[in-house]
Amino acid sequence: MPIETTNYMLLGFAVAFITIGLHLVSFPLRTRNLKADLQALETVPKASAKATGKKTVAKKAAAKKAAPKKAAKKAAKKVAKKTAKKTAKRTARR
Amino acid sequence: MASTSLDRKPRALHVLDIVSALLMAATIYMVLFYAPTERVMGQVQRLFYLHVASAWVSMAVLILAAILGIVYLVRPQNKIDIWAVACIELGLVYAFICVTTGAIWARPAWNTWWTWDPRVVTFTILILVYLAYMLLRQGIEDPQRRARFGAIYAIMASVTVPLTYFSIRIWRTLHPVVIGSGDPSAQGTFDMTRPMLHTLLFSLLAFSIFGFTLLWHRVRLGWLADRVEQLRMKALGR
Repeated sequence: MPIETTNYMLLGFAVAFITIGLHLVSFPLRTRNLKADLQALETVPKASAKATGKKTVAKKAAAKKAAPKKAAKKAAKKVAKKTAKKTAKRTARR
Repeated sequence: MASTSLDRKPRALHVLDIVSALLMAATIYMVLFYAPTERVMGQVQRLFYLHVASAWVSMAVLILAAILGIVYLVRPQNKIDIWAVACIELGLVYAFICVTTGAIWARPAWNTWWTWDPRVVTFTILILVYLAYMLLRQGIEDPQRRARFGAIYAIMASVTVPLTYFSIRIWRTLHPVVIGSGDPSAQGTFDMTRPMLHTLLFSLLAFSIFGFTLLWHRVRLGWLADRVEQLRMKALGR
């Protein structure tokens, strides 16, 4: 006949799963705190730039990213204008 | 790391979350209902399945952290440091579970919560060494210095893992030898019935997959923390 040790088993299970549970709960909490920090840090340079009138790092990066897109748009507009002129000339000749 | 990869959880991680939850539920079922009750110790012996599985995962991830430490020293990359820290945090959590379940089992089995047994002492030293790692890291501000220090520390601290594993063969101990109990150098043997062995192997698998899932989540958290730190450094003009 085994000795009665059910309470110890339950205690062991409780400790193990509470520890795992606390570790699991810490993930969304830490993520939330870090995201709040991230937002705060992203707004700090914007606010300081507004105050000083300088471009922020984020704005500069956005401008850099947007630069090739602007050039491509200009080129596309030029091509469209040229083709429109050509078609107009052709129709005039006819 | 781009914000999109941080915000969006990968589909594989979603699948792993579900798989590990199901495996853990199945483990609890097997431990409580499939495995037979031990003849002498009774119900408390069921803690053995959690105890061994958590010891296995903690030792595996701590060794992985040491390997990552070597990799970092050869090729210093921030992401390697993030993985190493995640490994050590997970190893600490599992080592804590291992030691506490062991102490709770020891109370009815050895009639004491704590004894100066070589396995118990070496495992506690392991926990303290890695706790010191987490605390010391907090004290270094420069990320590169911190990562280099962490890599060297993780390599040095990994000595405690084989020391803990082999302690029951090196010194006379009360602790039963589960893996390789047929070895003549083993002090105590541990015979298991087939359902007990199945439960042990299943819990090892479930804890390993669950451990990997937690590791992945922790690494994602590390990426986010790294991004915050980079922005903070930029804001401070360093």
